[in-house]
Amino acid sequence: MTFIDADYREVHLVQADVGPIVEVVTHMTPKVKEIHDFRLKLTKLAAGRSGAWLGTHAVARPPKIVDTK
Amino acid sequence: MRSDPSVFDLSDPESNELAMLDALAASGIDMSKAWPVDARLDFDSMRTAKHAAIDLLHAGYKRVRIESELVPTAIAVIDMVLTADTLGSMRVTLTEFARVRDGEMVRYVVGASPSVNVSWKTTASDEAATDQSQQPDQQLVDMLFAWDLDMEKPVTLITAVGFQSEQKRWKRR
Repeated sequence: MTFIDADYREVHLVQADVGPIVEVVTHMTPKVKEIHDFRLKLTKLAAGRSGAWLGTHAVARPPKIVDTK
Repeated sequence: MRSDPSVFDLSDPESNELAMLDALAASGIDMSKAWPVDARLDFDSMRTAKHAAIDLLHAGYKRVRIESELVPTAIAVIDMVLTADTLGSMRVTLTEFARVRDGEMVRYVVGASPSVNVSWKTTASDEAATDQSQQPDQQLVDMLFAWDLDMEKPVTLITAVGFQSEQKRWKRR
C-alpha cells in the first residue's frame, strides 16, 4: 500500500516462503543512473518497513501507445 | 468499428460474456489455461482510483495498477481460466467493489497484460554495499545492450523488495 501511496503506478504482491515480496513495475529508458536512482528511492521506501531490495528484472518493452487522433 | 473479442463491454453482460467466450475459443486460444484478465474500474479522481487500488490489494488481488490516460482507473489483473462462471463472478464482485466506492467497472480485457513470474532470490545481499554501488544497475544495462535493444526506448522493469513475515520478525525478538 505504501508503494501505491507513493505514486508507483503498478504493484504486485508475491507471497514467498520467507515473507511477502512487492514488485514495482516501471517503464524507463535503460540508463544506469536512472535505474540506480529509482532503485535507491524504492529501497529507502522499503527500508522504512524493514524491506530490502531483491533485484531488478527487465521484462519487455512497454505497451505501444496508440494515438487515436 | 472492429469488435475485439478480448475486450468485454459491460452494457449487456451475460449474453456478451458468452459471445466473447465463443469468439475467444474460435480464435484458437487455449481455453484450458489461465489468462490474465485486466478488470478496469473507473473513478472520478486519481485519489479515489488510488484508494481503490490499495483496497484491491487489501482484498487479496495480487496485481494492481492505476492509469490516468483517459480517466482515473484502478486495474486488477487476475489470472483465471476463462469460463462463464469465473468471468461472471469476477464481474459481479468487482462491479460491486467499484460501485460502493463511487466508481464503475466499465470493461475487462483478456490477455492484455503480460504474464509475470520472476524467481527472485529470497535473501537480500549486503544492502549497504548494494545501495552505494551502481554495479547491479550497470550489469542490467549491459544485459539489455547485449539484447540489441534500442537503448533510447523505454523498457519495462520489475524491481522487487522483500519483507520478512510478521511471524518471523516476531520470533527474532
